[in-house]
Amino acid sequence: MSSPHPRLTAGRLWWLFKLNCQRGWRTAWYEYQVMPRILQWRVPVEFPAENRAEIHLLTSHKDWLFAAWMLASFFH
Amino acid sequence: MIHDDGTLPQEARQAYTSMFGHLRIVSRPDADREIDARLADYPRCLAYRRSHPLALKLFDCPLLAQTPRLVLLDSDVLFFRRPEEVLSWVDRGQAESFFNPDFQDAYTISREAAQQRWGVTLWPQVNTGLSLLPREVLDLAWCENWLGDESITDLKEIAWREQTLLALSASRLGKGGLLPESYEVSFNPEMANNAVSRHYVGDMRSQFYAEGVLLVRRSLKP
Repeated sequence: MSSPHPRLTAGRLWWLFKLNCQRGWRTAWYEYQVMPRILQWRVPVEFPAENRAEIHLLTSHKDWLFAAWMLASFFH
Repeated sequence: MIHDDGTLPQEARQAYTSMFGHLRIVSRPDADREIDARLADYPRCLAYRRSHPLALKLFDCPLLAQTPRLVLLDSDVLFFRRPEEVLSWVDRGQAESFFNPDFQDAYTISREAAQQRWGVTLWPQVNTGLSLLPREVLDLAWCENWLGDESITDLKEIAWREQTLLALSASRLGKGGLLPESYEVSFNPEMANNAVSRHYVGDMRSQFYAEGVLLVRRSLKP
């Protein structure tokens, strides 16, 4: 299992630099600056327990922030 | 219900609880204990579940569901409008399955072969990123049977195996189909104007930020 926050070594910094040059700095800005902002969001209303259909989601250390955005967009 | 593939950090658990209030997060060890016991008589299902995290979507979600039907969502889907068709399916209460419409047949087996080998008329272009399922769609005996087929277990296509098995399961029951095209799955640079949701598959991940998060953020203002 890999750590969610890998150690920042010189090699990793170089790899991140190359990755961000390749995918564009705008994407990098979204990943590092915008994605975590969802953590300030709260579900707007208390939903009653749904006994007809549950929502299920499989997630991991790589995509749990994506899942937070997905759920927020669904409940909103 | 959130299914942890075994790598979810504590930070994520705390965040989900703060954001969404009461929700159940199923840890991998808890899920393994329960599902391993349920799959004990189905060795191929068990082996598949142990070999690929996407198998948890296929087995754990229906087997651990506490309601007769479930909405299965991938983390790389975003919603931009009220999903009326999803809410209507919840209200109808019918044992029907509906899926995101894909732009291709992303299966490990052709529709012709599925018809020939098992008499199943496999629905075209099922994408399981957004699935509306009755719990009984999962038939372990059929999955065990399908997992004995060389095409289904082709390792080159293992990422499509779960989708193939869910599509076969729903097609076998024959109730339901695909959601409208406005539940978009595409490689188009921009989504359609009427998109209710978009599943940012494969290389579209950067669009998840640049297009999807940008739009969702405006409406959420987190």
